[in-house]
Amino acid sequence: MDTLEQITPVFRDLFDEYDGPIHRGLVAKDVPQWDSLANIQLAVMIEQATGVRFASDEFRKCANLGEVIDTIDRKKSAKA
Amino acid sequence: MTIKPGDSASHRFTLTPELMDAFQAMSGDDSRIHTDDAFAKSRGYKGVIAYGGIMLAQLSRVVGTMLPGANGMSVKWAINYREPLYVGETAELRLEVAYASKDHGLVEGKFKITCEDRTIATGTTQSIVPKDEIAD
Repeated sequence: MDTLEQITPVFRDLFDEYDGPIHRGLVAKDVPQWDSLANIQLAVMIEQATGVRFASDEFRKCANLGEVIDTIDRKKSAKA
Repeated sequence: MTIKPGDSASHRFTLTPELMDAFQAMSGDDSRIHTDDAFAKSRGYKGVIAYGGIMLAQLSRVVGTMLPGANGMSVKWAINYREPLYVGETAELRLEVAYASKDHGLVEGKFKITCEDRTIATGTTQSIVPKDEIAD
């Protein structure tokens, strides 16, 4: 299972009114429920799903979902 | 003292007729399973069963006054009702911190409501909490 597949259930759970595609290019403005508060929830739920911890700035600075995924993969590789 | 995974709080409450009446008045929910003893028994229960909202009210008390406490703000609750709670019974709600992120200022809890050996409900909470109240 790749990282996108791993975090897709988190997205579906948190953004339960969004039924569009979940892809690397996804940004907050694509998802009406994705505000600053939800961004905090998203960070923590992804941490729990992947076992990768984010500093608050680190997650906030990701420009899109692809950058989140790249950060997760980079941290996983560093831990391995 | 700062919040960390494994911290817990518990609260006991008794489901009184007054509590049922108050919740009925507040919610406007007069469905028969909560108000009509004969109907509830015809459905196989021992009597009228607790409003789920009463259990959420008890959860609100624990989250708002005990863990994470007065400075937290709930952003998500999820609950699964497992078995009915009956009028006159005393239940215990126990909440445990499952995850705490100081970086993000968010605490997740898992809770369980039990009555003797029965599990009445289980669920999860998320609260935004001042970062200085969360352990490193």
